[in-house]
Amino acid sequence: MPKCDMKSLVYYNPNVITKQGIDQPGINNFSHFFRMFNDTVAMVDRSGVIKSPINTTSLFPIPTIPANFNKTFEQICDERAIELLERAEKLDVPLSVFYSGGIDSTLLMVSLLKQATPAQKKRIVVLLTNASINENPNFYEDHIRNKLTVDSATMFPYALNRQSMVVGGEHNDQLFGSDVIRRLIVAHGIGVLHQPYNRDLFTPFFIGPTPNPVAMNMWIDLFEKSASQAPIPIRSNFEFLWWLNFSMKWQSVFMRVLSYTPKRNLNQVDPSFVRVNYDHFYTTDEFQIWSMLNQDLKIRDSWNSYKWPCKDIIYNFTKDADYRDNKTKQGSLYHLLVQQLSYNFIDTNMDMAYEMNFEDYYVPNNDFI
Amino acid sequence: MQTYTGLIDIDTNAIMTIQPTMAPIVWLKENAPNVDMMPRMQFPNNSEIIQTIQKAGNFYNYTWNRKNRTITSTEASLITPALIAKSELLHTKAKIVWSMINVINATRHNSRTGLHFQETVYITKRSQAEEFKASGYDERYITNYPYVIYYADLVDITYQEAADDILLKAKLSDQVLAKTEQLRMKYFRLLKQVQVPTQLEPLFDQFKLEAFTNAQV
Repeated sequence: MPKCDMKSLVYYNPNVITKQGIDQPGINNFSHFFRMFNDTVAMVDRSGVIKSPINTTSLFPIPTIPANFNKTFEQICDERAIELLERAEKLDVPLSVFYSGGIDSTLLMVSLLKQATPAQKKRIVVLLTNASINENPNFYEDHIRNKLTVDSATMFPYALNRQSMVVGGEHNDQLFGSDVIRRLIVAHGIGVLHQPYNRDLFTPFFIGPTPNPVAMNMWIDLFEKSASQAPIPIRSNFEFLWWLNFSMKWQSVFMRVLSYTPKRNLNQVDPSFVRVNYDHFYTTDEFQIWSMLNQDLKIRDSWNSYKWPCKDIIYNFTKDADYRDNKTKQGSLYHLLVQQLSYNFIDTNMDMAYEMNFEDYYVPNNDFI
Repeated sequence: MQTYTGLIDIDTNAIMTIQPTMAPIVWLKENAPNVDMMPRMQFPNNSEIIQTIQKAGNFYNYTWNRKNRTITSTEASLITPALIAKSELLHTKAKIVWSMINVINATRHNSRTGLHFQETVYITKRSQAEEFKASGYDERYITNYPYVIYYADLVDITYQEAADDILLKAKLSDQVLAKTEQLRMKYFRLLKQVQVPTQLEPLFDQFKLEAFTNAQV
């Protein structure tokens, strides 16, 4: 394979890395991350603590917390909605919104609908699937069907162009803790969540399906090092898991949809495209600052209470008490992304490639040897 | 009785592979050069010899007699390295394409209904909604579109809303299947291009990743 001029990576497919670099120093231990968390998360450490064997660049530094920050989550949602609606108007393009029927995208829709003028509402295109409709039939019937323009989310790759603005509901999981919290609850019970951080709890939790105690301990050491340098104190088991997701999964979550850009649209995707024509609702600094400062507003004493502030905002708009009281997180993105063709590498120029030589992205001086 | 389908080299009548399912042979017939398909090879009296050949794996050592429907040894001078390589490649491709067919079928599970004639219902429902929409939602002839009527009455919406909903849901379902078709087309083309058996397993591994695992969540 000829040497390509891809720059430092902002996204990579872990399955490719694991196969290509199997014998290279550090790759096997580094790859244990994928077995601990998820074999599709392209780990990019925003905290700057971990020396990865993959040449990556973080595009999303952890924001600095200003003094006297006291905005509520709902305020931030409302202001974000206004910003996005006005941006679509200024660009004079449709505002295509990923809607899964889940809590995050429903809150995104509620925020837009609360703030949109009639003219702005006409610009909204709701991208959905049959599963979206089934996940929240009341919301679809009361607020979407015959009220907003609707299109299929399955063809989303072809909406990634400059004739559109595409917004998803990603990163709310990174703000609130994500599904990994449920794994902890299932493994150890709800009571451990808010107890002081206990490394012994995470040893069996992170061992993975193919035990590698050396790699696991290497990673837990690095996680603890990263947590010790977080801008806020990480005290509990919940906060520890939240920090890992917040600092290490953020970029992968942002970039993964972009990796599905079809070849014919690639010439439109560059750094100026990202965050303008392609964005996610919950990515702003203010959302992140709120998340850092409000650890007590994420989950109470049951998995059902996860993201309860979001469900309260939705309830105030829809008056659907059943959704507020009983809706829990269901993964929906998988069925949207499965069988879609995606690139395996994206670099800082937003250039994309299916293949790269291992030598073009491997960093020998890494923390995993 | 187990049925067998064979793939024959047209020039020599040498057997390239024998498979217990027809689909891979049909695919190879269309996507490999100079081959032909022989259905029901076990007929009239070939089951035993077929099982022997399959265990040995050296299909090219045997020739199919079309007229008599018998299997005999291939003339030694015809067994060239090229013929052997062709047989090995096509035999491995047959197994891989059958595995790919099963994976594609699995990706289409969500589109199955399990109901008799439901596919016909969906096609007619969509067609009626399209006709009603094309008529400008003219309700004077609404009884021509019973599927639209029943949908509207059940969900308690207007006929126009019902037609639009039917068309939206049809579109959403179409596109889920279209994704699987994209996958099938991509990998069947790649499979056709493979010239060396050792390339087949890595291709199948990549195919499985794209079929199920590569969804980056």
